[in-house]
Amino acid sequence: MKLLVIEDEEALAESIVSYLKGEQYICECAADFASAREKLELHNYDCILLDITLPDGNGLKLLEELKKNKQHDGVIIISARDSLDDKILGLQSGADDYLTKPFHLAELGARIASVIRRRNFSGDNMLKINEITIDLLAKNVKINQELLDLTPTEYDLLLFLASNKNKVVSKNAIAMHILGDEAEWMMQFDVIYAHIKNLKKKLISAGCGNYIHSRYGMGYILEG
Amino acid sequence: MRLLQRSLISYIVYSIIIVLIAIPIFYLIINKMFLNDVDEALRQTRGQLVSQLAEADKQTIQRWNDPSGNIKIIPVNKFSEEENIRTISLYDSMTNEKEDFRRLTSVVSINGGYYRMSIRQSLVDSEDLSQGIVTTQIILLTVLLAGLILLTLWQSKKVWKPFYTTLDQLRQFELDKHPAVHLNKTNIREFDELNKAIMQLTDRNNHVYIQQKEFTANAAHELQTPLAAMQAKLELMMQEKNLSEDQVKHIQSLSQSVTRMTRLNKGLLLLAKIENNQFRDVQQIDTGMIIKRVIQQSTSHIQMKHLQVVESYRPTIIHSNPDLTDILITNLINNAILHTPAGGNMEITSGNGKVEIRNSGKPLPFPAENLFYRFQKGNHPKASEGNGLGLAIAKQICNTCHFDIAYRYEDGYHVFTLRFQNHG
Repeated sequence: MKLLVIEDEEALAESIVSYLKGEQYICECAADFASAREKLELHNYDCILLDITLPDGNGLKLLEELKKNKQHDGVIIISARDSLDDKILGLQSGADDYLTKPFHLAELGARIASVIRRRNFSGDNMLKINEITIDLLAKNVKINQELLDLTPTEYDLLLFLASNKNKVVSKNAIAMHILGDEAEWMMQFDVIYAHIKNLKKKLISAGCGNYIHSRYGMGYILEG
Repeated sequence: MRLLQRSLISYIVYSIIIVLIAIPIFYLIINKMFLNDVDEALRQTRGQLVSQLAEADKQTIQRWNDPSGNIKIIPVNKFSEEENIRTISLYDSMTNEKEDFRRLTSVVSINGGYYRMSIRQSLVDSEDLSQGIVTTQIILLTVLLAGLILLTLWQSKKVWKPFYTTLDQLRQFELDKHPAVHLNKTNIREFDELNKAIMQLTDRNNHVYIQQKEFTANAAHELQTPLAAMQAKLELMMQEKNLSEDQVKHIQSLSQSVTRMTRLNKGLLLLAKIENNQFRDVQQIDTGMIIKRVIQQSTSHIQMKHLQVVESYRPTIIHSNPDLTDILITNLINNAILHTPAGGNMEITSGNGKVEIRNSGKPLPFPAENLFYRFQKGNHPKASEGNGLGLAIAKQICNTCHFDIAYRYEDGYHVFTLRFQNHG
């Protein structure tokens, strides 16, 4: 899987690249409009992370050019602009997703995985980790072909961890992902803990291996 | 005291003094002139009589003593140069009142004999005349004075009109609403100068205010990317294997700080957006539905804190911006959940164009009027929760949407009351 990170903040671009590489991703970086355009003309990518506010141009222009050239790369806009209008404009211009800065790398990882899966026309909408099979269309989980009864939150949580397989996902990132704006108000990690506990219990009692672990009390990891 | 009253009062005082002095002086002068005239006439009559009677004998002269008593000629022994002229009051049996006369008494020599001749003339006419003149004078002065006052009133109303227009505009002036005060030319130099100064002042204030506002928004905005970088680095550090206990502690506390900064920044950006009027769309909203949804979303927290929540809502339809109304109600309910001690009570009622959110808790540790200020946090054990902007945002939304928000503390309950004007 080839990714292009178009982001002028070097520290952020670097972090994204080192978080994503190592898995199935190969990452390239472009720090400005001109080099991004050059890369886009030469290569195709599975997913492009696009910052709109570039020092020498508007990222939306790149998006327009991509669409004009009928390149079907998946695009996730990462922007400091958080107004609804900006989001609508970005998505109307053909972006697959819009992520407002600051974001959690785990969230970005999950969104990239989701975009790539949606772009994948092979019809394989199953995410498999050992004996766990997540059906993304039916939104259900099977352990060794046995259907597992999960609440929507538990399903979200499992998919989130699975999308960031072998990575420590911070409790903050999980809270933001499953609670949304509510997490802005309350840092009740007890809620997260309760959901994780229930999920683990269900997985293990269905005969699944114990893959979800707490890491230093900072977050959780799904090893597989 | 109004400016107009002040100048009018000095006008009136001055006029009254002048009138009070003028009327007696005028009366005296007129009277004196008239008496002089009468005296002259009496002397003339005397001269005429003396020349007419030059050849007359004693009897003829006696006959001149007419019954009206206006002329009296009485023989005397010796001549005297003395001439007596004075005003006397005599009783008039006809009109039954006293009447003033002017009488000239002198000794004249006629045909070798000496006679005291008294000639008198009634002063009734003169009194009538001077009274008439004085009356006319008073009427004239009164009309003049009244005219002066009316004219001043009318004139000043016209002259001061631009002033009141300016005042009106200044009263309506709001730093965050109207771009600046615009005042028309008045044709009066003083007012034009005043207006110019006011326009410059409001323009400058507006400019500074906009700059200030932009600064907050820009600062918050510019922080988003570095925050994202910090957050990302922290998450990368978490991926390290074999972290020491200390390192974990540092990462966790850093991560908490970044989360707080992120929340704070979001709050500031939202405030800036509300202040910049970026939520204009108006729709029909049922506040009851919003309350239901917010409570449903917060179920896990409510359960975690073992809060008793009593809800009662009748549908309340209001016309307002859906996003802002949503944020407002969410903020108020979440604020209540956040600040209710574990095991406490919450009551949420909606209806009649009113939403009331009550939650149990200790009284505020700071004055209630500071409640809606930014960063006013109580000595809450978990002060890191919330961003200190929730109620400031709620207040700003109420200002923008013209809702009325009030807080009171009664019987161990914090009570927030929202009133909507456009409910139906």
